[in-house]
Amino acid sequence: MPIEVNLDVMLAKRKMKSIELAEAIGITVTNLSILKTGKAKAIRFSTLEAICEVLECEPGDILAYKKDLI
Amino acid sequence: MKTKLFKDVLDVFLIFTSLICFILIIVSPFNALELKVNGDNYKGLEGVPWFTWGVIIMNTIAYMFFFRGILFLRKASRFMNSKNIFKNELESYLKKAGFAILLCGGLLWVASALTWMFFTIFKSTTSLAVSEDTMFVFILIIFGLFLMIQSDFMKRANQLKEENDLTI
Repeated sequence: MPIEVNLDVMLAKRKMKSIELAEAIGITVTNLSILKTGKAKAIRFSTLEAICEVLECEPGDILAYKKDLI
Repeated sequence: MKTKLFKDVLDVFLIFTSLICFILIIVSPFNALELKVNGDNYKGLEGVPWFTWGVIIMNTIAYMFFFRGILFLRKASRFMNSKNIFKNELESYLKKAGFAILLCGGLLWVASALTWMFFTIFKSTTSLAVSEDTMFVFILIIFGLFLMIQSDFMKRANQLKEENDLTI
């Protein structure tokens, strides 16, 4: 998929651990790991909203379009 | 309940056919078998003409395909009974069962078409091409294709389920 998830970059910038983010947004660590590794097929607006709220960022900071990833 | 009944019916069918095959294998060497092929009666396997032999062999192969199809259907029914039906095995078994039953129908169709041609050309007898047997062949072909289509639906359902599971 040409959509890249930069969640680990944002987590590093905010100096936050995956488990803390998972607890804050109310999803399991396994699901967060699926999202981080790019295995996820889709993301709900509610999840994206919660991530943006906790990490104080824009959706574009987490998701990026890379054409060469096809 | 329905899937359990389905599996039980398949089990009973397999037991009966296995029993019949076993009896046929035991009885056939002793010429105790009475064959009725293309309207002619034969006592044992002696005196059976080459064309009739061809028809018998084709029908036997078709029956083996049918048996194989039923075996795959039985394997598929095991997955239908489980709670998680979204499995690749179920899709694969349905496809294999459908293909085997389709082949069986196709082979029986070829056998009946050849018989009809043989009787029309060499024995100069005309008979109705559409009979109960022909209808049975069509039902087999339709059933085989239906199973294969079901398998494709199952594949699509598996993909949708995977997508749904991976939506965070």
